[in-house]
Amino acid sequence: MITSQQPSIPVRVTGIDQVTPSVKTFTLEHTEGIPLPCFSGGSHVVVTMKDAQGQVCHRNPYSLTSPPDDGRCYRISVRRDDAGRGGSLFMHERVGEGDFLDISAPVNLFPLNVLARRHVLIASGIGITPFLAQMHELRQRGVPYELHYQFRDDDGAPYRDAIAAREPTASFYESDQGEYLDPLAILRDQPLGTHVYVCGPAGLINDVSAAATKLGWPPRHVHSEAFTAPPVGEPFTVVCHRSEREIEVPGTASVLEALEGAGLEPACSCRGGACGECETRVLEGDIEHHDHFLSDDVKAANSRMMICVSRARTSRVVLDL
Amino acid sequence: MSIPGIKSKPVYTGLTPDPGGCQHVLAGEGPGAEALLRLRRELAEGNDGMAPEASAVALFYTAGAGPDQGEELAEGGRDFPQPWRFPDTEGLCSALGDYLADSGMGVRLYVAGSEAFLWRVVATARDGVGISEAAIQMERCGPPARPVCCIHCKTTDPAVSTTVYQCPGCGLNLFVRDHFSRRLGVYQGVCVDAEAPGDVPEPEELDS
Amino acid sequence: MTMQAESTVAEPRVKPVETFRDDFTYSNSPEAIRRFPFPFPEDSYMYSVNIEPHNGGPPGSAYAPAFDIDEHYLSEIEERRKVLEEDPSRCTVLPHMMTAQWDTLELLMESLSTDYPQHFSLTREGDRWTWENRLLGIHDTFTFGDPETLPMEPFEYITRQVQGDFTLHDQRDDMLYMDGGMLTCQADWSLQFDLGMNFYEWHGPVPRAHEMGVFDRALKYLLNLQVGHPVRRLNWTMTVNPRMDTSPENYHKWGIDRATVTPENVGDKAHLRVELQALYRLPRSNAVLFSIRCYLISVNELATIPKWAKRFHRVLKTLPDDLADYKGFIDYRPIVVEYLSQFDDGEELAYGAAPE
Ligand code: HEM
Ligand code: FES
Repeated sequence: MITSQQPSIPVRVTGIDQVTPSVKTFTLEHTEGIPLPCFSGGSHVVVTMKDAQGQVCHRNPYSLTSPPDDGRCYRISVRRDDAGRGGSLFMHERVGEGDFLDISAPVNLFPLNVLARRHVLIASGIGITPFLAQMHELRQRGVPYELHYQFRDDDGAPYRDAIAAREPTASFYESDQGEYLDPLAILRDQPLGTHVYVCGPAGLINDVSAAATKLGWPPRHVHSEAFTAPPVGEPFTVVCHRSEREIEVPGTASVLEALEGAGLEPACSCRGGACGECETRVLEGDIEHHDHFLSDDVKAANSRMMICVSRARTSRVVLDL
Repeated sequence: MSIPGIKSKPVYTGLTPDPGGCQHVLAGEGPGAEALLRLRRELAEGNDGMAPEASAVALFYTAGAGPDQGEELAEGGRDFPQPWRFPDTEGLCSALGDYLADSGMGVRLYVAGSEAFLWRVVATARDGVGISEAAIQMERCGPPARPVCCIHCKTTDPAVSTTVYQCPGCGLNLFVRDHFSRRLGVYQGVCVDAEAPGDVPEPEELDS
Repeated sequence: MTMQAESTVAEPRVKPVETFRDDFTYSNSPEAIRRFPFPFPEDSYMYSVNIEPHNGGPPGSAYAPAFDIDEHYLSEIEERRKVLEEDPSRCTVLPHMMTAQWDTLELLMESLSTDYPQHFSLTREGDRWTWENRLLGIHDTFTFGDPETLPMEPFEYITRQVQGDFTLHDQRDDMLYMDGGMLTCQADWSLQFDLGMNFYEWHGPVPRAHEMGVFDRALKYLLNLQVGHPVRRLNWTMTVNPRMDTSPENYHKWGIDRATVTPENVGDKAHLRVELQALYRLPRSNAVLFSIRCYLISVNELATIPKWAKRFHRVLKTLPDDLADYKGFIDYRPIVVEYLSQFDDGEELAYGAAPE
């Protein structure tokens, strides 16, 4: 049942809800009507957005907020960020019902610890999103948890009513009304075996971490959501010294993929920066290393690169190929 | 090239006060009392400005196979609100489990005693209450005897002092590997003469 | 997921039950020999992070399907049944892995019914699933997610019907843990003992690889494993007699085999044992499933492929002692090397593990 490596899943936008003045929820279904993979609470997908010319212009990660065991559709929530790099504006202004998008398979960088005896979930504003799927999972597993949700009135409070109806133990804090969650008070009397999760602005994450440290929580019991979106890389040119060829590497492909696309067959195996097969000598240019293989010294010297994951920092690199 | 050991073998460091903790629970067996006395002194001296209140330090002790150094611990100058001397490890673990169940996330557990005792206490705290191993320190005290489980009949001998010993369960002669299970708290014993029955090497003292 | 237009998966001609113990009637047909996953592309062997995407392979090869079913299916299923009868703890899953159990059941049922529709079929109507395994005469309807509707827990239920061992790994704190498994054909390691260990601990006994950085790199790679992008690697050792269950639990019974290899019987007794290992990220649990599919071939069967006999001779001869010792054949290695030397004329061999 192994299919060729699919870099992305094609989906159609089948519904858009304006849940608050600044937040829209998008419902996504597979373009072929087949089920999407189930996922674990806390997972996100990376949405690839393309401009009118079909060029990739944004890649943003969004938490999946729909029930994890339901593959019929995914839901993501996007808060409009006028100061951001433009992905959320694109989603708000350019994406309509019936449009097509590409998403990655779900990835979970914010998983629940399955050994925890109790979970404390702390969200601010749009940071509520990963917890929607996680609470679904925790309810099903019957593990105790509590939610603390702080929001500003002018932002609206996405899902506040739905949560209030379903989660009798949830606590809400309206910062405009002078209500702020107090991490020390929340964490003080938690029993052994508790884990805390926080998703929101850096300030809140720092406050919760500081409170946990003060109360003696071991660091492994404190989790925060850190999106590491695969950035849209800059395009650059690879000059193959030995075969005397020049190959353009677009922002969306690795050097390895670009070389393969040009009909070359460089040595490779894992395609993930671990095995060492694709190690290539760099004759000219600076490298942005993403692999786990080369030593820090070699990386700093820029004398070698793993072409399956690493990229050029300069517009042109000369490789010993 | 040096011959590196098996990575699963635990490395025990001495007990040192963890300034990150808010509540310090000490559990000892037999000669482990000395390590606990030292630790208690350091906690009281308040290095790193911690000096926890007396109520934030709890003690659990059993003589185990001896020697019984409970008197020395008692004279350590501090009072303990809860009963703290137990006739055996089972009694100690049951009381410790109850105590921890009412404790918060700031607990640090310090354990000193034989290797079998250390992991029996860890199992109580980790599997019973959910304390993470990051919050537990261990110091091995007394003779270097190891808890070893026979891979063939699953009998555990809590204090094996030689590699190549006879399994009390099935009678096979076992070699003691350095492979260690933190879940079970045991080393692995494997038949030493399977490929040449009867050819059993002389037992050697285990040194660490 | 898209279906391949034409199946590249071999249609297995399943043999009647042969044995992996006592009278050892197991053997490979000429077709099975040709599709044996020979692991040596070069004349020497050393540990490395030998991982590649598990996205199919040459038509009919062991790499083509997700989970390879071959002529030994019934024999291996029967052997598994016997081992579990003697020692039920060979299948153990820690309680927090229940979601991963269901993930495994889904992955195996979906893969088998897609790759081998003549033997397996799965019908899903919401949560009501009907599973048919015609090779074993199984036809069960159950509710996905409700263990009460299966005769045993879902992981054991399905792995009793698939060749090869399986382990289940929770991922937490940037680490993988051995939190369950079905282990009846292992190369001398114990699930009961290793259960709950982390990636470095269960690899503890392996020589050299820690110092070489192999496990650091492999772990980082596996932590990033993604749903729908399985990877695979090969591992190998040698076994005396075609014995599947070379467990430490039973070492006191089979260890003696190693002393029975002679220049006269080595061709039939000594076996190359290859594990085709694949790793899958599981969707609901975020756990990792590790499948360890074991293939056994006698030295004489292997020698019917001239290139393999030459290459295996060279690999064995030059394998460092610490690896030969760890793999458990250092004592009878000279006999195997001597025997294989008759097939090796010293000809230079092309890179690659293919038979020609
Ligand atoms: C979750 C995935 C994996 C599991 C469950 C696993 C399990 C094991 C086990 C149980 C052993 C035997 C250790 C012993 O002697 O007790 C072993 C050996 C080994 N593993 Fe892994 N392993 C995994 C992934 C990997 C990966 C990705 C590599 C990549 C390099 C690797 C490399 C090795 C090597 C080199 C050995 C020594 C084998 C020999 O010489 O026979 N393992 N593994
Ligand atoms: S292909 Fe493995 S490191 Fe690049």
